[in-house]
Amino acid sequence: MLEGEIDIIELAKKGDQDAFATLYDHYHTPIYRFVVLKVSLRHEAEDLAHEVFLSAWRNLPRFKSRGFPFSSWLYKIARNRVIDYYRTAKPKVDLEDIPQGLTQDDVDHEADLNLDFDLKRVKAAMQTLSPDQQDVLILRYVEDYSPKEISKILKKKEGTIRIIQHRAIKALKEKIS
Amino acid sequence: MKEQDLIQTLKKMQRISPDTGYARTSLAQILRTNQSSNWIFSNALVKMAVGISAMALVVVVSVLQVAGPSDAKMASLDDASLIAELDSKDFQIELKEAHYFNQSAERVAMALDEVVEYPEKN
Repeated sequence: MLEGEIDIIELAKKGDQDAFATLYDHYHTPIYRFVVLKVSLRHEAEDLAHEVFLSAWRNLPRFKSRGFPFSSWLYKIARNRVIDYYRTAKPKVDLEDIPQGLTQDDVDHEADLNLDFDLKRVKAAMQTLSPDQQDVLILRYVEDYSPKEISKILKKKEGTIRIIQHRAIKALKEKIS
Repeated sequence: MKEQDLIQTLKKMQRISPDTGYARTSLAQILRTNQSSNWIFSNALVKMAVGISAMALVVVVSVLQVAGPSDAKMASLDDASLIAELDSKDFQIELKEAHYFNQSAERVAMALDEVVEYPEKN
């Protein structure tokens, strides 16, 4: 959480651009990572991350914390944008059609992220997991949030987060091996 | 791949970051958007909708109060008063019947007396 975040949010809610820029600088990279790990293509991830922060700026006057961190709100917008992206931009794929193993060809379709092969392989496998499993893996291992923090961000119980994390790792191992 | 290796690989994804130029351009574009006007517009619409709904509700309630049944009528429709009314009506019917039987009994008795006193008439 950003230092003095509550005050910064209050200023941004009143239209203070510097305050919003501070929030943007702090949260833009993790939100971008969250999106790019779900949609793969860099330019699409850039468009989606832009839409997330545009929506946040426009709707900020209506933002109410209700005990949840500001990041929870941003991740919620990001998740909804990714859902819309898959609903409109991509043909629907039956879960039965998703290949169990991932080949080098699958990995080659990934974005130009300059990642090594293992990383690309894991990233491609992650995208076959359920959205909840993806969210927990990204927040736990990429963003280094604790299960308690993730439970606040995703508005789920801490125990549920631990179960999702356990199942996600297990599923990811199976898909990679 | 072992679990620890997998987790280490996931942590390598922390290297992913957006292009700095894109990030600055995106922020500049966002801040060119007017935050307040959109909010005021949508807020005004919501307020207008709530206001119209409230007015419609007041009109409906007023019409019902003027044209609808009075309090006295409504009060007379409760179970207790209906039962009491029903009981009293039954009671009146019984009184009328008793009165009728009383009168008719007297007439029959008079007729019988006449028959006894003047048998040749009949």
